[in-house]
Amino acid sequence: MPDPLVMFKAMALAFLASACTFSLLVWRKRSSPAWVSLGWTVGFAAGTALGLWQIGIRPSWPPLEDRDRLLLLVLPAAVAAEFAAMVLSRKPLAWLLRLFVLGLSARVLLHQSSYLADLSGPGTREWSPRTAPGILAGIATAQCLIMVALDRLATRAPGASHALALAITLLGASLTVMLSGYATAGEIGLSPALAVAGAAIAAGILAGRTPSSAPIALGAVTLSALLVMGRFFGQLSTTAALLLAFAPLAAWFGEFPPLARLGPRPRAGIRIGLVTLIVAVVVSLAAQNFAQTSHGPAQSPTPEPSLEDYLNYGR
Amino acid sequence: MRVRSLCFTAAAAASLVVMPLAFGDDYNVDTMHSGVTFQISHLGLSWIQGRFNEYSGTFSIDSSDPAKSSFNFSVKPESIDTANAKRDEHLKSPDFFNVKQFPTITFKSTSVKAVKDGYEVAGDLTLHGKTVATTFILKGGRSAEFPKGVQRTGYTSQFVIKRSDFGVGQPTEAIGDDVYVVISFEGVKK
Repeated sequence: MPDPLVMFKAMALAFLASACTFSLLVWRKRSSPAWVSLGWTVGFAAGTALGLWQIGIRPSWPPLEDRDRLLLLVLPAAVAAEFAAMVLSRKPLAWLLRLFVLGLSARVLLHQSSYLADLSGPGTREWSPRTAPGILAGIATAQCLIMVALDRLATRAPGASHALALAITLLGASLTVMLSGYATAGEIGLSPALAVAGAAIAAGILAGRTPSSAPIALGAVTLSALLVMGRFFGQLSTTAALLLAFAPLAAWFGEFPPLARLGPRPRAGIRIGLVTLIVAVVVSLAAQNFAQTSHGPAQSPTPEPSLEDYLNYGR
Repeated sequence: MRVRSLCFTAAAAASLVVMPLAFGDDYNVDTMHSGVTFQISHLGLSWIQGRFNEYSGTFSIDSSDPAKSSFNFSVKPESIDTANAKRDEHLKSPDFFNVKQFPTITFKSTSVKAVKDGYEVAGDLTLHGKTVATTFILKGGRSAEFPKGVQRTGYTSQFVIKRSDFGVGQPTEAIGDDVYVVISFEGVKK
């Protein structure tokens, strides 16, 4: 397991860097959606980069492995899409770009893996050329639907609670992936999780109800990438991956009666509470499974016979 | 006369094709009587031992001209076995071998020369997507007929590789950088 002290320092740095960057950029323009989006995006990028630097994770070039492709292709593409979305005047075009990045992320992460390529000779790929596009399309569709549903919720009930719920899910996903035999991916996930959390706290104080799709898009791309890496390269179970993928949608329960009658603050609390509950269950199950399978071969239930036992045998 | 000349030319040409095979004996690795094992230091206190259960290989021995001999091996890192399922799962993950991205470890010899009691084999070892020139001494070469009608020979080698050369795992004092590898194999003559 990675050093907990190093992880804690990285998380604190990501949180502070993101919160400070967001605050500096949004301080005088707190009611401007464009400046709030800029704060989210730059805060996320700064917090993630500094957290990863602190933890000592350096991507390799060329990006032959999934984690290198996450750090050098997927996350930079998600950040670039947010910058492009700020410039683009047409909102649907910005959303097409976000969905393109998110939809393609699983394909990029699985590139040249044994799922998609004949690495051990002809016909050895795990997904046949016929089934692979279907699986990738299924993953991309689910990811995109989750992101759109979260954005709809953020539009319906503006505030930072959705971003905080996503940060909690990201944190839970990182821990679960770490406990599922892929420590590096879990370590990588901690920095963006705390970067989203830092900006969310700053946004809750400064930006109030100024809308922005940036935290939803950046959080959704990171979450889906972590789950794809954990599921297909580590030992993350399909159930845990699905529960974590859909956990942020639990925030929608606050919009249905009778909870919908409550005020904005109690509903925000319910959103965060429900998501936290699901994430906590998944993490605790992963921790239990880790503890059960980590010990070595079972000891014999009967005590080992001593030398005296052998000498006295038959007397 | 012309027919005899043609026959002679054809026979000479055929012999040129056949002759190298006549001196080089080709073998398939007999996995039932072979093994690829390793050990690595844990905290500098003990040695964790493991093995790979799935591998294959072919080799050719040309006793008259050892430089024409060759060795090719392929090992499945997915089959790693350190007698602890949880540790094996972790070793298969991208934290170490990344078996979904790099499902085979291969060795292809580039030069072979005879030394006392065996051969010095140099070649390219590809592990975790990185290829490193590696040299080791193969000792053995005795032959036997077992079971009746099956010709076989066998070799053993011990060598050290550095996991940092191949980017396997993070550098840490807890797990040694040097990996002590032992391969011992029998080949069945084709």
